[in-house]
Amino acid sequence: MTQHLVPPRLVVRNLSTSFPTEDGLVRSVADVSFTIQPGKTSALVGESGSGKSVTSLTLMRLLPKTAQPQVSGQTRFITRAGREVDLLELSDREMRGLRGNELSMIFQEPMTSLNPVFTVGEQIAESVRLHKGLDRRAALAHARRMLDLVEIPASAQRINEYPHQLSGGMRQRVMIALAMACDPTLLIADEPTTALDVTIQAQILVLMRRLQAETGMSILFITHNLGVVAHHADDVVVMYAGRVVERAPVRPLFAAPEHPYTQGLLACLPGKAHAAGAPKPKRLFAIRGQVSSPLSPPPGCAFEPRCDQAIPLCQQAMPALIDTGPSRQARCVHVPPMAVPQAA
Amino acid sequence: MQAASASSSAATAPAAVQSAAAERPLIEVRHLKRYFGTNDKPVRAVDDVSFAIRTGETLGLVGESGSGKSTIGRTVLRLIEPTDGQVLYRGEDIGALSAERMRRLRSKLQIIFQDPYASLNPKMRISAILGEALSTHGLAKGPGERDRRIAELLETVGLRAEHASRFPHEFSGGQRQRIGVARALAVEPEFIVADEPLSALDVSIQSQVINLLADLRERLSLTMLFISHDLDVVEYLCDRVVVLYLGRVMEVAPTAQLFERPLHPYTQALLAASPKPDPLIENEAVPLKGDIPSPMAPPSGCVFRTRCPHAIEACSQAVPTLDEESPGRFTACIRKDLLTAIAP
Repeated sequence: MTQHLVPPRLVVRNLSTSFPTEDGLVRSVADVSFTIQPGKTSALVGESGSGKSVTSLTLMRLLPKTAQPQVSGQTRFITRAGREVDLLELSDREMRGLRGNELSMIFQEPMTSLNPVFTVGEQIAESVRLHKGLDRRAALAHARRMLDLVEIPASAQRINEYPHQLSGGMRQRVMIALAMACDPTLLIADEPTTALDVTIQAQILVLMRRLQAETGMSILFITHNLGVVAHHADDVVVMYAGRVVERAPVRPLFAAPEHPYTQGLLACLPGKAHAAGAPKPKRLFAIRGQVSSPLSPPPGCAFEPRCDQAIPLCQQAMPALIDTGPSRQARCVHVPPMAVPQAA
Repeated sequence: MQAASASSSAATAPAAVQSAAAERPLIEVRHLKRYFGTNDKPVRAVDDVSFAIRTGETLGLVGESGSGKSTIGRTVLRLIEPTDGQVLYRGEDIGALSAERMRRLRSKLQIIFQDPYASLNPKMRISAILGEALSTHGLAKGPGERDRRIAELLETVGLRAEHASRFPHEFSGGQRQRIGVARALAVEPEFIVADEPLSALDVSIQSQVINLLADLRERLSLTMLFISHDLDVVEYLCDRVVVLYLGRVMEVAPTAQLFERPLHPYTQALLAASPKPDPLIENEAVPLKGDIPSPMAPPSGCVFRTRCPHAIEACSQAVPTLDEESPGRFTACIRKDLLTAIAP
């Protein structure tokens, strides 16, 4: 429909983040590109060490200086006022003006991301005082409204409580209230439900979806849980060993994954192994081996040592991420490009 | 206590599922209770739980955090002593055994832990980790025999004999979990408690370990208590399932029946809350309200009633009994009217 006319909220192009270590340079994120549409959810999927969290922390400019990250690439973020900025080029001061305001983030472990010595009300109030210039009283009133927004019962009492007095699910609601306090245009959620029980996870996901519908914010949802992705993402970016191996809208991705890694990832899920009523297969599909060390990546495709479809060509060079269909991309020598201008 | 009383009066119900009728269960848990903390306000981690595991069967124990899964797993192996109730192994109360007899029995009863990083001694080589189990139970005579057995064990779990000289840090998470499995198998057990053996592993590695467990179970005819919060894995791997909530049994059923038609409102909510990795499956279920209550102050009557969408006044009056609704299917809910309402 008219979707193509709306400029994306965030465009990330060729983002790379490397860290110097005693054993050499580790490229945690390599040549990552994706876009996030306004009001939509893009999921960043991958296993541990795939570079999901480093990608988000690079975008938020939250990597510790002591790690001496080497970042390259461009981003284009459209602010609330319609201004185009490159998050990687902004001064520290300008970035502070955006963080917690237009861009906010929620983390996996709410207990370690909330300050244990301040009440939840004070913590939420701080961000609106800072970014919106509200006075103390107005900021606390706003904090109270935020707690109501995230459906925390008895907000008048909870506002004066400390994080340790809340359950895990409540703390994650407080984190969301904090992130939503300044009405962000982009919310980065890094495994926001991984530490929660499934019935609590379901509550938080419904809440996030409701808030998105009400505010029109975009969400970058980082997760390894493909069940959550299937139901809560519009677009999916699959990462392997620091690189994007496939990008697609959620339904086409689950219906017909193009990259052998995505295919393997979906095939090895016990919940996907058999349709309802069908007998269980004797064995689950398994991706053999394990991720190679980032210090000694294979010469060609990073997935080649574990890939059942590998051919000698795969060892020669890292395949490019090519367009394979409308809003679909994949990084594999076996996947044909979208149009047919040339035969391989 | 009453050690010799377990005779042919046997289990709860004459296991109606065909042949199993006269068979004595390998493990039987009777009215197990485990309270922690002070006597006036104990944490009721496990509160009157009973179930039986037949020889060769894999029983799944599912529930959210605080449901008592791990405590049951450890009490069954007498790694912690029960507050009340019994665990019978081949009809014998293991709580009444002398320390010496218990030590000898331990080779029959083994456990695989959740965290493969924390459960292997970092200062011991793999040969020493596996060798310790062998020598403790006098299972290998002489160093030659011992080394042969270690090599054999490593190969059983898909590792190589030369791995024996390495330290745990030289292995990936999936490989360490294989070593954990090898250690449990070293003493030729009949029964294994697998306490969330997959939850520390990445998805692509999980399916490798699931296949390994399924293979070994068949080859060595193991009986297993499989503790997990991942319902997809339980559905794939288990024959029957016990659903726990706040230290109590909500429902017991053969796996296929449980997933096809859960009877207890909690099981229904639990299944609805775990997202299936398929975007085409619509999930419009309303998530459960509220948090899991504190096990220090569990609700009166049915512990689930504070979150149950079907709770009525009577639910707070008495603890519901675990009734057999159809052969092999047990549920602890007084709303029998719901059962007929949803019956096919």
